[in-house]
Amino acid sequence: MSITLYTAPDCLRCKIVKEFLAERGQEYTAFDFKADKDIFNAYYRANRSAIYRNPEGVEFPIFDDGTVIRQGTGEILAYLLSGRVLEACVTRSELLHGWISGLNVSACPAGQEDNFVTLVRLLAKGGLTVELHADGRRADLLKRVLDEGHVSRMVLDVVGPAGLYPAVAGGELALDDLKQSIALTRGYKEHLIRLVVSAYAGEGGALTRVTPVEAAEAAKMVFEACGDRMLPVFIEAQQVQGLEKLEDQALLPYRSKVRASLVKAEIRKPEAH
Amino acid sequence: MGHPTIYPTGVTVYDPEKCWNGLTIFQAQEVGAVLMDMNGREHNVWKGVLGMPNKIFPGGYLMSSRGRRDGKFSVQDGVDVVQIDWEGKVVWKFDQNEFIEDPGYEGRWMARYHHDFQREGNPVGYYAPGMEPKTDSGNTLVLAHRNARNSDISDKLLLDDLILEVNWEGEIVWEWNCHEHFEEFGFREGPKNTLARNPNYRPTKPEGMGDWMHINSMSVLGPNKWYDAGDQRFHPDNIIVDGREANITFIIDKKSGKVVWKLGPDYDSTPELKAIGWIIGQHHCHMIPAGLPGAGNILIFDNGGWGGYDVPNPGAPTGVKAALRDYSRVLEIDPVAMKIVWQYTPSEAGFLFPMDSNRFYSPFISGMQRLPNGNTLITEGSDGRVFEVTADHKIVWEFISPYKGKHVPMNMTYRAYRVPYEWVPQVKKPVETAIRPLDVFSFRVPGAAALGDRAKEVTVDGCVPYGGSNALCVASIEDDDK
Repeated sequence: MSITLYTAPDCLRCKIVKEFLAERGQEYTAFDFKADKDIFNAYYRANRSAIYRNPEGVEFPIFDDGTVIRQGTGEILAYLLSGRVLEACVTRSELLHGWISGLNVSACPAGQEDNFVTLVRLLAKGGLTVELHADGRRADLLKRVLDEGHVSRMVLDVVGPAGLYPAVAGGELALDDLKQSIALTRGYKEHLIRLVVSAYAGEGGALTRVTPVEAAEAAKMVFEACGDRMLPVFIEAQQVQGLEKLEDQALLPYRSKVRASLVKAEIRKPEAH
Repeated sequence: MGHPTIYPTGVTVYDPEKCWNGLTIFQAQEVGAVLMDMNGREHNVWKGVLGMPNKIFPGGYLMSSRGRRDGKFSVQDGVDVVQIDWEGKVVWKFDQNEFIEDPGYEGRWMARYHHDFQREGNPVGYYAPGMEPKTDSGNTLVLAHRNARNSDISDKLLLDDLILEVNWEGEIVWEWNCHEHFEEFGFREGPKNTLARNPNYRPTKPEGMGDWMHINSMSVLGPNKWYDAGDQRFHPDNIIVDGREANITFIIDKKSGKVVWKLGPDYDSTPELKAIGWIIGQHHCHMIPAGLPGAGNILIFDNGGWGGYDVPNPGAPTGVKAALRDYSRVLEIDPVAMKIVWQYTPSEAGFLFPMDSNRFYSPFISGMQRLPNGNTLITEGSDGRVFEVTADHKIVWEFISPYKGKHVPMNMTYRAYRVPYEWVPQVKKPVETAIRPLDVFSFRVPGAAALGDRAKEVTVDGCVPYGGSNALCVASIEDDDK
C-alpha cells in the first residue's frame, strides 16, 4: 500500500512522521497543502467527512495508506508502530502549539508496552512537549515511561469509583496501582490530578455520567490510596455528544461531595486549559 | 452622633402607641446576641456568638456565627453560619466553603462568611407578611470570601466577595464570584487606575490582600411590583448587594450572574443620580419586601464617612476612600424612577445642616428595617444607637447599647432587627411601659446645679437681637445651595 502524507510548511509534527518513515525505509509521497494546493484541495473535498479540523484549522499531517486516514502525529506513529492495537491508548491530541496529549498509559494493551514507550520517546525527541495521562491502572508502565524522562506534564485522571472502572475505562482498577500512580504523579514536577465526571455507556447502553455520590466514592478511594485529604484535585466533566454539557454551577454538587474526603478539591475552569 | 462623656444607655424613648412593638435582636459588643423587649429587658442572650448580623427566625431561632478567623490571615472571615435554638443548641450550620490551615491553628472548614445571609422563604431576613424564613429546610444564601487573582483589576491578591447558595445539608449548589464581573460595574478610568494600584490593601499574612469591593449586604428581591409589571431586572430570585469600597449598589441576575441594575459607582453621570447625590460607604441596601409600606423601593443606609475609588484628592491622597462626608442618610429609592421617595437625614432629624449634621452619623456598619406600620427601625451602628422613626420622622423608640468592648473599645452594633412577638413563642408578651423622653434642658446628674440656679443676671445695653444661622462658619441652611 502506498503512503501519502499531506503536510503544512514548517510543520514539526509533519517532520516527525516523515523522519520516522525515512528511518524505517518506508516510501511515501508528500504534498504540501499550500505548494500543492490543487492536489490537497481535491483530496480534502473527496474526504472531507473523514478529516478532522482542530480549533485552528485542518490538523496536519494527514496520513493516508489507502486503507485508513490518520491525523495527528501520535495517532499516525501509533498506527505505524502497531496497526490499530494502540487505538485505545493513543487518541486525538487536544493540545496545540508544540504540545501533544491523547496518550493514556493506563489503557495500553498488554504486549504493547515497548511500542508505547517508543512512541512517547519519538514524540519528545522529535521536539513535541508531551502530556501523559494515566487513570490509575498500569502503574508499572507509568513508572517505566516517566523514568525515561520524556514527559513534561503528568495528568492522573480518576475516572470514577473502582466499581465503575470496567464500564468507564474498560478494565479493573487495583488500589495498589492507584496508590503508586498518585505517588508517581505527585513526584512529577508539572502534574495535575483530576476527578473526571466521566460519561459512559450505562445499563442498556444508554449514555450516562458518574453521579455526585459516585464521585464522592472515587474521592474516598483516592484519599484511602494516598492518605492525604489535602491532595489538590480538580473536578472536570467529560463533555460528550448526547449528554447535556456539564460545567460551572452544575459541578458544584460534585465538589461538595468530593470535599468530604478531599478538602481542597476545586472545579477546573475552562480558562485553566 | 457625638456622645458626650456621660449619656444614658438602654432604652431612652418609647411610645407604645406609635411603635411597631416586638422584640429586638442586636449584637452586644464582645458579649453575644441579645434579644430584648421594647423596654430593654433581655429575654435571652446567646453568649459568645458573633452575628454580623444576628437574625431571629420563627420559633425563637437565632441565626448567627460562632466567631471569626484570626485577622492576621484574612479580613472578617466568619468561621460558620449557624441556626441556634432557644437553649443554645446548634440545629443547622454551614462551614464548608474552604478548608483553612492558618499557621498556629489546626486546619478546619470555614464558611468565610461575612456581613449577611438569607434563608429561603423570606427575601431579607426580617418580618414581612406571609414570608417566613424556613427553619427546618430550605436553602440559605451566604455572603462569603474567597481569595482571587484578576489582573484586569490589580496585580495584588484580592479578597473577593462570593455569594454561596447552600442547601439544608450544607452543600454549595450555586455561587457567584464578584471579581468575574468587574467590567460590568462601570468604573471610570481614574478609579480603575487607583484600584489597580491599591485595591483597598490590607496587610494580611503571608500575603497582603485587597478587600476591593467589600460587599456588606446581600438579599433577595422577592416578589415585587416591578417584575409583576414586566421588568425582568427585578426577577424575584435576583440578588441585591452593595459594595461599600466602590460606593456601588447593584442587582445580580440569579440565572446569568450578570449585573442588571446598578446605582453608582459614579453619581455625576445623569440628572437623576446627581439629585440622589453621592452615596458613600453604604450598608444594608435591600428591596422593601412585598406587603410592607414602600414595598419595591430600595432602602440604603448611606453612611457617608469615606468610600470609593477616584483620582487622588486632598481628602484621599492615594485615591482610595476618595469620597467623603461627615453625616449619614437613610434613603428610600424608587429603583425605576431613580428617585428618593423618603429619607431620614440630619435635616429630618432636626439637626442644623450642615454644621450639626454629624449628629446623625455612622461612618461604618448600620442598617434599617421597614416595619409593617410604616415606621423604620434604624441602626446607627458605630455608636450603638438603634431607633424607630415614624414616616414623618418622629422618634418613637430609641436604644443606646451599653456594651463597650475590650478588644474593640466601642459600643458599636452591626445591625439590629425587630421581630414580632409571635416569632418567639418562648417569651410571654412583655408589659409595654412608655418611656417619655427626658427633658434634657432641665435634667441634671446628681451634684450638678439645677436649671435656673443662677446667682445673678444683668441686661447689657446696646445688644442687637440674636440672628439666624448664616452668621455661622462654613455654610448654613439659609445659603442658596444652587
